[in-house]
Amino acid sequence: MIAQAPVLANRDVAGTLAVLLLALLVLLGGAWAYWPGISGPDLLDDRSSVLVIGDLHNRPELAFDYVFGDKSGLLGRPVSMASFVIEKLYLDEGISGGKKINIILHVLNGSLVIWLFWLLFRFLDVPGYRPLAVLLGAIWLLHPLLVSTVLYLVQRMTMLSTFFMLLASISYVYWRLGLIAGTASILWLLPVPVFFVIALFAKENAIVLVPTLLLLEVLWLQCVGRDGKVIKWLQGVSYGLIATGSIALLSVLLFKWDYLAARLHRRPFTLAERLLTEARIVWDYVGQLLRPQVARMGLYHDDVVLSRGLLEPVSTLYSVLAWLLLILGCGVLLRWQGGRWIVFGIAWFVLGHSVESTVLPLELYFEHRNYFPAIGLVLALGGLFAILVKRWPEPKAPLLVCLGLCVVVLSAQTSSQVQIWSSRSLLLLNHLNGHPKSARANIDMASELARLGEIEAAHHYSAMAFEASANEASTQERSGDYEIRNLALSCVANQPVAPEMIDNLGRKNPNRPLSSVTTLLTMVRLLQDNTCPQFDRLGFADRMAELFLVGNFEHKASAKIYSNLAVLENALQRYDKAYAYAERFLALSPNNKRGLLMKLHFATALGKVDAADEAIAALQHMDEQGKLTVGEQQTLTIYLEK
Amino acid sequence: MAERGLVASNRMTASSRPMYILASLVIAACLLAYGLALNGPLFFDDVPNLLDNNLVQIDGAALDGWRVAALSSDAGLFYRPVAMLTFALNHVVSGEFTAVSLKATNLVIHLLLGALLYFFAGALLQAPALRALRLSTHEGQLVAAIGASLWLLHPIHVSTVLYAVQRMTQLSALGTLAGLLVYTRYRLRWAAVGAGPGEVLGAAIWLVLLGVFAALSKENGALLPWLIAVVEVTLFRGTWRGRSRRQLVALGWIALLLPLLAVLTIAMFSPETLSARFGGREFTLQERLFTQGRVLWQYLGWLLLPNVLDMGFFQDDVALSRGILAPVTTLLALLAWAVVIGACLVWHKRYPLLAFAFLFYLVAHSMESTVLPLEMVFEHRNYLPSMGFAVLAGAGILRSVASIQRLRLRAVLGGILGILAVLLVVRTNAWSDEMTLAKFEVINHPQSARANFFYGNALFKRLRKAEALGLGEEDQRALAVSSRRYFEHMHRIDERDFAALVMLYMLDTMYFPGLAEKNDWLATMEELAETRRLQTSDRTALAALVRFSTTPTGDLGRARVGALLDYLIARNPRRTDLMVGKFRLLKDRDDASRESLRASLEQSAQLNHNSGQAAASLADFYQSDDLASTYEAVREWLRRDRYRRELLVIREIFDQ
Repeated sequence: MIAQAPVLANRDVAGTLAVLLLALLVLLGGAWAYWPGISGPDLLDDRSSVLVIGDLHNRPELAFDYVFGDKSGLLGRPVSMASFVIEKLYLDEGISGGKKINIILHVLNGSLVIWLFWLLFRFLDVPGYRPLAVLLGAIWLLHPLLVSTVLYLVQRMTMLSTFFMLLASISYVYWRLGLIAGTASILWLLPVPVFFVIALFAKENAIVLVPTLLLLEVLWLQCVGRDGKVIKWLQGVSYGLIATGSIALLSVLLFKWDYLAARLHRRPFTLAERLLTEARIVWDYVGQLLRPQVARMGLYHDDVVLSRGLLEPVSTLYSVLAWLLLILGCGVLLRWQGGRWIVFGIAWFVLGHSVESTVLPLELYFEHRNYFPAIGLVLALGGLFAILVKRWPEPKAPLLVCLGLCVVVLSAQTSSQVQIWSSRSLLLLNHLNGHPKSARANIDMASELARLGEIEAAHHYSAMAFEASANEASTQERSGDYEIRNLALSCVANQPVAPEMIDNLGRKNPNRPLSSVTTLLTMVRLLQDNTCPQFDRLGFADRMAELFLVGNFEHKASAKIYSNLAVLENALQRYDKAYAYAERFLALSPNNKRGLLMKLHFATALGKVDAADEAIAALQHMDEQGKLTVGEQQTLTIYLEK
Repeated sequence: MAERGLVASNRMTASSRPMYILASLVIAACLLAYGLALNGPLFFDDVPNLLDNNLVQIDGAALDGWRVAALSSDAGLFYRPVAMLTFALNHVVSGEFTAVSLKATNLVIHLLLGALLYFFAGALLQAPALRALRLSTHEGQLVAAIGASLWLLHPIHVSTVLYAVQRMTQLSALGTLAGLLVYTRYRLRWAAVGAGPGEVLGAAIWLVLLGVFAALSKENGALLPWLIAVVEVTLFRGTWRGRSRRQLVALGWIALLLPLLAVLTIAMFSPETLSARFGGREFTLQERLFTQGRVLWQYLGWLLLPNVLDMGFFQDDVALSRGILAPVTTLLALLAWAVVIGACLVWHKRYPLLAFAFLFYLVAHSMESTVLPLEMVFEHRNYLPSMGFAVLAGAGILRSVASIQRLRLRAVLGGILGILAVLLVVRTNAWSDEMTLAKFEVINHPQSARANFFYGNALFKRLRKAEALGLGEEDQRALAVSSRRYFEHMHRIDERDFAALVMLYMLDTMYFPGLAEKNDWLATMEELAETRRLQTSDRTALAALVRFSTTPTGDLGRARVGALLDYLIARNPRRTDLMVGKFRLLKDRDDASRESLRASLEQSAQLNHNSGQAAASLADFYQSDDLASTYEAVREWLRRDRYRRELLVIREIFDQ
C-alpha cells in the first residue's frame, strides 16, 4: 500500500495533465468553431450602443462620454461600454475586431465554467470529476444556442457580466473549501463582492448572483464545515437571506403589481400576458438547450405567439402545469442529497432567467438570455451523472464517452450556426426561413433586396413585414411607418418614387401618422447623406411639415419624431422649420440636452438671439449640475465663443 | 515461488512464439499482397463518393468543413459520417485523394480487424457452450490465430480492402466486432461470477456506443444487437454465475427471433411496404429473395473454395431466379437453407460452433441479402459474415490435425495459408491497375454487361488520351474498334442498359461516321426510355451523354438529347439529376430554351420538396441576371437542406 502511493500519485498527476490537455483542446476547439463568425454583420442594438462610438483617436476626451453615456440599463453598463471604448482606442478593427474579442471572452468564460465545475464536482468526490468538468464545460462552450450571444457584438455586456459572476462564484467556492479544510482566508472572500459589483456594472442581470450563491451554499455545499459538520452560522445566514429575499420578492409582486404592470404600457402585452408567455418561452429555451433545433435559432423571435390567457393558446396551460410539476418534483428531490444537486442546477437556470423573463417590460424572446442560465442546466446534467456514478462507478467511462459525443454533435451544430452568422445574406435568409412571420426578418430581406436594386421584391417583403406586425406579440405597424419604409427602400435601391407616394403619406392615421422613430431616422439619414439624389427631398419635407407643424402637435407624434424631423430640415438648411421642430421636441421633452443644443444651433442660424440665450442659459445651468458630457460641453463652448 | 513464476513465464514465451511467428508471417503476406495493388484504380462508387464529391475534399482548416465532409455522402440512411470523416482525413493529410493513401488506410483497418477477430475468437472459445471442445488456453489462442489468419488472407476480401469506398463496410465491421468482443468479454465474466446493475449498465452503454459507431459507418452496424443474440443463444445459453438461467435463455431467443418475426409480420400484413421499394429495380422482391437463396450458397462456396476465376467485382451475370423452379437450383438452395436453419436451431447445443457460424453468417447477411432493393451480388457483403466460418475453420483445422496423427499442424497450416496467400496475390495483382482489372473481370465474366462496359470504357479512356500517350493512327483505330466491340457486346447482353447505347452513340459519332448513319442509337434510347426503370448506371450514362452533347462534336444531336431528357423527366418527375442534366444542356442557349428551362426547373423544385439539388439548379439558373429570384431560390435551397450539408456551397454564392 505504501509502495503504491507514489505510483498512484504519479498516475494522478499524469491524469490531471491529460485532462488539462483535453481542456486546452476544448477551449481551442471553441475558438476554432467560432472564428469564422468574425466576418458577420452588425445587428440591431450594435448600431445604437457600439457603432455610435465615434473617432476616439482624434477626440479621446469623449471616451468617458461613451463609457458613462449608455442608456441600455439601469446602471448604464459602464464596464461593458469601457470594453467597447478600449477596443476602439487600441484595436479599432470595426465589427470584426469586436467579434474577435467576444469569441476570446467566450473561450475565457468556458475556462471559468470548467474551473467552477472542477471545484464543484471535486467537492462531491465524484469519480472522474476532472474529465466530467471539462466535458460539461465543453457542452456549454459549444452549445449552438449561445451563438447569438457570442456573435452579437453588443451582447458582450451579457458575456462580461457572466465572466465576473463566474469569477465571484469561483472565489466563493475557494473560500468555502478553505473553510472546510480549516484554511479559510478572507482573501478568497473579498473578491466576491468586488466581482459582483463589476458584474452589475457590466449588465444588471448580475443581481441573480446573490441568490445563486445562497442556493449553492444550501443545496450543493450544504453548509458543510470541518469534519463534515454543518456550520450553523453559515446555515442560519444562508436560510435567513433566502427567506428574506423570497418574502421581499413576493411582497413586491403582491403590493406593487400595479406599478409593475404600468411599466408595460408601451408594450403590446400586459404583465399577466408577459408572465404567461414567458412560462412557455422558458420551456422552449429548455427544449433548445436539450435538443437544439438550429433552423429556428437566431436573433428574431418577434413572431412568438402571445399567451392571452391560460388556454389561449392551450400550450400555456401545459407550460404552467409543467412548471408546477417541476416545482413539486424539486420539492421531492430536496429530500435526497443527490437530488439537491439536480435542484441546484435547475434553480441556477430559473434564477438566471428571473430578471429578463419575468416582470420587466422587455421584449419576449431572446436566445442570449440563456448565456448564464444554461450553465445551470449543464450542472444539473452533471448532478445526474454524479448520482449515477457514485452509486455505480462502472458506467463512468462509457458515460463520459457519451458526453464527449454530445460535445461533438453540439460543436457540429454550432459550427454550422457560426457559418450562418458569418454572412449577412445567409443570416437573413435563415431568419426568414426559421421565422417567416417575423416582421424584422422580412424587413431585413426587404432592405437587402433594395440594396441589390430589386425594388419590387423589396416592397413585397416590406408588405409581408407590415402584415407580420399584426402579430399579437408586436405592435401593429402604422401605415405611415410602412409607407416611409417603402420610400426608404426606393431610396436605397435608387429608384424613382411616384409623387403620390409622398402626397399620401400619413393619410390613413392623420391623428398620429407615425410612431417608428427608427424608420423615420433611417429615412432622414438616407436623405441627409444624399443616397438617392433623384428623390424629392423638399416634397417629402413639405409633406412632413403639413403633418407635424400643426397646432395639436402634442398628440401627433413622440418627441423623437420631432427631433428627427429637425435633423431633416437642418440637412435641407430650412432652419425656420428645423427650429419649429426643435421647439416641439422640447415641449414634449423639456430640458432635453439634445433639444436645447438643436434650439441653440437653429436659433443662432436664424439670428434669434433671445432664443439662443435662453438655450445657453439652460445648458449652462445643466453644466453646473454636471449633467453635460464632454462632447456637449465642447459644442456649447463653440456657441459661447461665437 | 519466484522460480516457479520464471518457469511459467518461459513456458508462456515458448508457447507464444509460434503465434508471433504466424502473426508476423500473415501480416507480412498481407502487406506484400495488398501492397502490390495500393496504386490501383479508384472507380465505380469511389467516383460519386470521393472523386466527384467536392465537399469531402477539404483542407481541414475550418471546423465546419469537417462537419460538411462527414455528411457529404448520399449513401445510406445516415450519410455514413464516420467513414466520410476518415476519407476527409485522408484528403487533409495527402492534400488530394490518392489511391495509395486511401487503400493503405483500408489495409491498416483490415489488419486491425484481423487483430480484433483474434481477440474475439479467443474470448468466444472460452464460452460455456464450447467447454466440450476442451481447448487449453494455448489451443484456444491457436484456433483464434488460425481463424484470424484465414480471414485476413482470404482473397474474397480483396474487393473490400482495395475498393476505397468500402471502407464504410470495414469500419462498420470494426464497430460491430468491437461490440461483440466487449459483449463476449463481459459475458464470460458474468457467466462465471455474475454482475451488479452498474456493470450491466456500463456494458450496455458501451455496446450502444459501438453500435452507433458501426451504424454511422454503414447501416449494417445496426445488426450488432442481433449478432449479440446469436452469440448468446449459441454460446452462452443464459449462463449466469455458473448456472443456466431460464429467463436469460428466453431473453436470448426472443432477441434472436424478434427481428425475424417483425419482418415476417410486415411481409404478411403489409407486403407492399417491402415490395413497393422495388419500383426502381428491374426485379421484384420475390425474385430478389429467391436469387439471394442461391447467392448465399455461392458466397459460402467461395469462402470454402476460393476460386479466384469465378470471383470478381462485377457479378451482374448472375442468373435471376424468376420463380422457385426457374432455375431449379433456387428450390434446392432455399430447401438447403431451411434444413441448415432448422438444424442450427435443433442441434445448436450439440454443435454450438457450427450453429454459431451459420447463424452469424445469415444474420450478418440479413441486411444486404434479403428484402432491401439492392443489387444482387457483391463480394464485400461477406466481410463480416465470413468471420464466424473463419473461427469454425480454425477449430476444424486444429481438431483435424489432432485426430490424424501423421498430420503436422505447421505443414497443414502452412499449406492452407500458403494457397490462400498465392490466390490473394493473384487477385491483388489483377487490381493493380484499371486496365488489368478490367481485362481480368471481362475474361472471368464475359457475360457481365458491367465487366464489358468497364473494359470498353478503359479502352475508350486510353483512346481519349491517345495524343498524350503518343499513339499512332493505327493504334487509335484499333483501340476504337476494340472498345466498340465490348460496348456492342454489352448491348447484346443487356439491351435495356443506357450505358452501352450512350457509349456506342458517342463512339460512332466521333470515330465511325458510317456506322453512325446506319445505327440510330438515339432512336433506340428514345424507345428504351418508354419502359426503362432508370438505374444509377443509366443516370450516370445520361449525364455523360449531356456532357458529350455540349461539345462541338456532340452538338448535332443536342436537340434530340434535350427531347429525350424531357421525355424521361416527364416519366420520372422526381429525378432531379435529369433536370440538372437538362439545365446543363440548355443553360447557355437562346431565350426560348431558357424560358422552357425556367418552367421545368420551377416545376421540379416544386415537386421535389426535399431536394436541395432542384433549388440549387434554380439558384444557379437565376444567378447574375435576376438577383431577387436568386435570393428566393437560395432561400428555398437553404430551407430544404435540413442538415446544412451544402451550407458552404451556398455561402460561396454570397462570397462571389
